[in-house]
Amino acid sequence: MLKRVALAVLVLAAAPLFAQDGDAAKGKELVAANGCTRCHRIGDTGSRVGPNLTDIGDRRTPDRLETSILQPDAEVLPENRFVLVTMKDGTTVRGRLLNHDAISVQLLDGKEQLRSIELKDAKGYQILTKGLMPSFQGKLSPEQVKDVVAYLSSLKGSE
Amino acid sequence: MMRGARLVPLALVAAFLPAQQVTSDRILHASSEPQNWLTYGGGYASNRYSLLTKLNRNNVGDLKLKWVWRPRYTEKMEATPIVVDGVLYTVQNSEAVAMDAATGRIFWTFHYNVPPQSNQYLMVVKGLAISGNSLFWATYDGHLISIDAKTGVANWNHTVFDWHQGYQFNTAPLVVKDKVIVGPATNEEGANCWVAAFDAKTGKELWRFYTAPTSADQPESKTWADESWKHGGSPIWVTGSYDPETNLTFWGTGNPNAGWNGDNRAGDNLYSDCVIALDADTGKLKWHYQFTPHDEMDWDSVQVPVLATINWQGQPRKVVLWANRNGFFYVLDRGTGKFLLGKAFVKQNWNVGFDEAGRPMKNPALDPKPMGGPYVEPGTQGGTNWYSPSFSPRTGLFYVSAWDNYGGPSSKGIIQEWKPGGKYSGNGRPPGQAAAGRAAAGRGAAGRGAGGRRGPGNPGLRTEDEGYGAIRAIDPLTGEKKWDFKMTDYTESGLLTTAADIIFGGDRDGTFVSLDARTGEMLWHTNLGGTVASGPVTYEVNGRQYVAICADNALYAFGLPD
Repeated sequence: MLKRVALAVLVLAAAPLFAQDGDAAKGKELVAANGCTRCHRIGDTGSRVGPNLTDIGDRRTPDRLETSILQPDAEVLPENRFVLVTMKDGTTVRGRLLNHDAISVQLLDGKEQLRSIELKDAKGYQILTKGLMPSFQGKLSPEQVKDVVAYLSSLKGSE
Repeated sequence: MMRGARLVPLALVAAFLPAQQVTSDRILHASSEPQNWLTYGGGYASNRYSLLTKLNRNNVGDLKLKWVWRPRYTEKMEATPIVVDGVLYTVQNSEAVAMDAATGRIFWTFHYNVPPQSNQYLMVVKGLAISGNSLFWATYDGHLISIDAKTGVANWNHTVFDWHQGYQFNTAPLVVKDKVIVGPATNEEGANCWVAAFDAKTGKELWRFYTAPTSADQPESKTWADESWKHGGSPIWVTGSYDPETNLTFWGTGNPNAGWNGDNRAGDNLYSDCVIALDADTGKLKWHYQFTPHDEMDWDSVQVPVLATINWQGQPRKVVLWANRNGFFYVLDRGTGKFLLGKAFVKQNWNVGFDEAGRPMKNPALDPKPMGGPYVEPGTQGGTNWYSPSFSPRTGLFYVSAWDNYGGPSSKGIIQEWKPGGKYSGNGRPPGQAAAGRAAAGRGAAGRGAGGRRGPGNPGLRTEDEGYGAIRAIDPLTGEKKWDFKMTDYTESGLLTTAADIIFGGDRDGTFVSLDARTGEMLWHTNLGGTVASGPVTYEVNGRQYVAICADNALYAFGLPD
């Protein structure tokens, strides 16, 4: 039991140190330069279709944030899944999955429109948990990843 | 997970374009997009009149139930939904929801846990407001919350007051330009109320107008004996209206406290039982008119101010139309508040006439007495109450849910010692003594003083002598009744008219009905099995017109068969 407690203390103590390794100001610039707000919202800026990052620093530890940046498919929360609906005419509709049942599916599409599609009008739909976000492995240097993690860790919400 | 065809996952980093927002200009011109319902009253004039005509006298009889939404809470729903571009937003107790307006399927649910102990009556919430991509919810326990309309995530959540002090928010806010305007109620708890504006983006308070004095230096405090103004109440619990031409926002105020006993508050008790016209930018009072000076009958003037232009004595005139809980229908000049007309729309005996300024002359023989007498018409529930009326520019008629042939004794009793959050109603009883009311008044046990039954039960046991409810059409030029649709029980339903000259309303028996707006002839009805206590709305999705209404604790939507 003591070992477990010691390990937990070590992990908790290490997490903020990890975040402090990076430069949050540089991380903010990197988030802007890499177009993260094309999918994510921070405060009143950015798209609502991807996960909202306004208070991500309160919800994810630095190590999980790093994983999300480098291996985004490793963990996709249920509320962040996407859906791809193929209509009977072959066109497709995609967006964040909000709700679905035996006769319909609800989503927030790329134009931030809340849409409800009846399955009688569709060939089918697929719930997506992979490939929703590109990996930044090799696109950002380890230092830059730390900077981004430091910035995201600093986001604690508006109130 | 997979339903139907196997599809290939796609990388979803795309250029996302924001959807159209509900701008101030859209709300200002709400009538140009009748497929939507953008404010509590259907537009700033609060006339609950829609230009949609796909439903009409020829086909309304074919209406079918399309969907039902039932919140997880069991209180009677009084909320009016907002509908924007096919999405319906509503609220009940501790949850706000966005749903597909055509199917009722949920997009998101936002939870804010309203403490049950803050509930003084019913956990009433009359609806949301929208501006930009944000919804605004004034919660029962005093929070004002901005919610992202696309995702159901809170933008901000501010505590406006401490509910322990005797306040509650009941009202759907009114958005005017960049401001969210709202005020609290006090449920006979003597907390002095107000109307205030908050910045829609940040929630910062920008102005506040108190409806009861806050200082002995204010002229209004002279209308309250001694220091009775300190616990004057004068609540806000129904949404106001807005006139863009004058930039005035109009709000009805509730009764003074202690409500049923005015012995310690001699005077008119401003600004209780008034309509107040406030500058929407500053909150400064432009004018007021007091419907019931020194009220001891609980005749809140929290009715929805209906703005209209009528042909008054041969000239177009911008007016405020108002059927008041005290049993009188009023026409007031919108710019000045000048009294133009006051005429009883239900049986009344308390007012023997108006002076030139429009001040009612009370019948002194009917001043409330302790322990139940005399018998006053209308009774304490009034000739109408907070139920939204409607005005149709096409028919030129004003429609109201009325309680007629209804009266009761006053509830005058002991004035309780005031303490924060405690009852300060003036109807306290000495220990061991039965409550005043119908029995003390000797009018039988029919429930006249108590306002009848509450919801479906056994209406067959009622007699007309006990009073009745009606959807009543009134000519605003004369105040005369044009027609009645009578009900066995009373009604708490709001009303809706459309450019197809049809009207929708309901009653406590659960009936939801459509009438010919010119004649009152019934065109269609159904029974929803619970009290109709909200206002109907109508909207279009994909070219199909719907009508939605709450009954008891569910929201129902009707449309024509596919």
